[in-house]
Amino acid sequence: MIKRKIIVNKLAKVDALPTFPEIAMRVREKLRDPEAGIKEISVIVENDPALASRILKLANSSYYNFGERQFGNVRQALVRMGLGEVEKLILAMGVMNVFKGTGLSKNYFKEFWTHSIMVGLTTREIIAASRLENKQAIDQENVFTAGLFHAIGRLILFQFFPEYFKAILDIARSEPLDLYEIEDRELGINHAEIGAMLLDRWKLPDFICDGVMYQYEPEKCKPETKAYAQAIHLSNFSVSCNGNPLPEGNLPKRFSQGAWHDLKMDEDITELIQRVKNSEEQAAIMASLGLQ
Amino acid sequence: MAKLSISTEEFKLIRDFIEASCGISLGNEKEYLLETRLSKLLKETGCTTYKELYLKAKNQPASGLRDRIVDAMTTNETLWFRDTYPFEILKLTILPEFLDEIRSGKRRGIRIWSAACSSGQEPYSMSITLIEFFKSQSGIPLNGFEIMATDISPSVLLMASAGVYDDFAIGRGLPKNYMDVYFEKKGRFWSVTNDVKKHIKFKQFNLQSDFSALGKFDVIFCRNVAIYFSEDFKRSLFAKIARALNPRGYLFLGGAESLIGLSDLFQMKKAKSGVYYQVVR
Repeated sequence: MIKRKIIVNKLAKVDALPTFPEIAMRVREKLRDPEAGIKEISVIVENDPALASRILKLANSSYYNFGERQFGNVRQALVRMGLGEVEKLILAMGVMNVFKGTGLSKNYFKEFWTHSIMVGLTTREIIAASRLENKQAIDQENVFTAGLFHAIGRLILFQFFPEYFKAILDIARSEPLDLYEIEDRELGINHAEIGAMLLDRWKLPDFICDGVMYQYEPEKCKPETKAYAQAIHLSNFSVSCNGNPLPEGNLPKRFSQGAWHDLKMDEDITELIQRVKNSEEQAAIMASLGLQ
Repeated sequence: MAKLSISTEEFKLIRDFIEASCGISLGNEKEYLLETRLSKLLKETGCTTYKELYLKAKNQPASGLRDRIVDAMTTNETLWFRDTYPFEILKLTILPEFLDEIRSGKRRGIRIWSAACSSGQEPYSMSITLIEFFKSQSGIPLNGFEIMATDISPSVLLMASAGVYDDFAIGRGLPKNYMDVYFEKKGRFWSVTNDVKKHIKFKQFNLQSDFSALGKFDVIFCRNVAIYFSEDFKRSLFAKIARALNPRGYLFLGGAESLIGLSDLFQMKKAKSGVYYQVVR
């Protein structure tokens, strides 16, 4: 397919692909350093006033702060939220920053990042609720990252091929198909694959790249990394059918029974959806803050 | 394009495959059902025979075809207040009877089961019917009823539990005034309000399983799902349903379905608009 070739070739050559948010990288490294703790992370955050102010605002939002006194400094905020939450936040804020100013409207980004953060949070919930044998081996924070980045290919498509991006949205308005299906049909490539190309360029681990690459057809993923693709698939489905699909996307149709079966989902359906609904508020707050 | 006929051998292969995949066991003489549900899939995958479709699904797990076959078999017509008459009978006959029993202290609550709830239209229609009824009565608290909604398929259950519908789905049978009262706009979509949702519990459940863990019900809707099953299984299904009902409890089947020849545990009741059943105990 000609369009596919055009897209793949251009993305392989272009130098101007967005770079992985540096601050998130430094925080990640620090968090994996057994000697480092809240103090070291605080220093990194405090050195970026824009990030520091966002972290503080978030820590003082009703999601984290139940009427306790307001947190006045970064260190207190980080203690309250915990290092796990902090890493998620910094990553989300960082990646939102990377794509600012690329030309999509603020409303579009708000919807896009709310959706993506919800998928990140829900992917973690799904792994936790699953009865996978090697559940403990799955890194909770990486699972969030994979979910957060699952649709990043859409932003790359917009940035480098705005005419294709617009054509896909026009079709989505009149046909009740998932966006990736329309992309496959019209372009020969979809945002899962494009996103995986970016994440590979960012040298993210195998399981994150595979998780994103095979999120719509998890049965095609190799066994070692399949659980990630399956978890993202179920998470995206649940978040989207809750009325939070990708901007201008439709309610989802395709569902992988295999993913539900393999992850041995024990979860009470009503409870899983409740968790999705609970994640919406936190995601919307984070998205707003990240876009300020 | 004329529908391709399925041979006996192909029917057996696919039937066993479906049963192994998702537990639905198609009785004999359901060839027409498979043909109706799978002919579109045949066309889409470019397979020329059902056997080819089966082999592809079985031997190429990466094709995702197994899932699509299961989906095609388990998707139902999703309408609000489907066929109207069951909801009218609830409103005009059954609920007033339960209300009398509540008022005289003979009944504490009401439990209803939507036994093949699909993407949620049936249990939400039930909930709206009950809320509307109790609104029109004075002094009765609205919290005394509970709806259990089950289905074999996790995908429709997720949709049902989310309770979010697009313009196309919302328009199919829902009175406009109900839309204003019982739904909220959520971006481009419509979301069922919490008042309607809070009475319903969604659960994945296979009708081939034991019913005892679900408890007893006053009304059971088992509509348009028995078409999948053999005569033997249907008999056993209705016997289980009879045991899951409280004394003098009610059963509703699909508009074109009947208990004749399948169960003598029920008495048929005829209303102006349709037929329903009461367990004989």
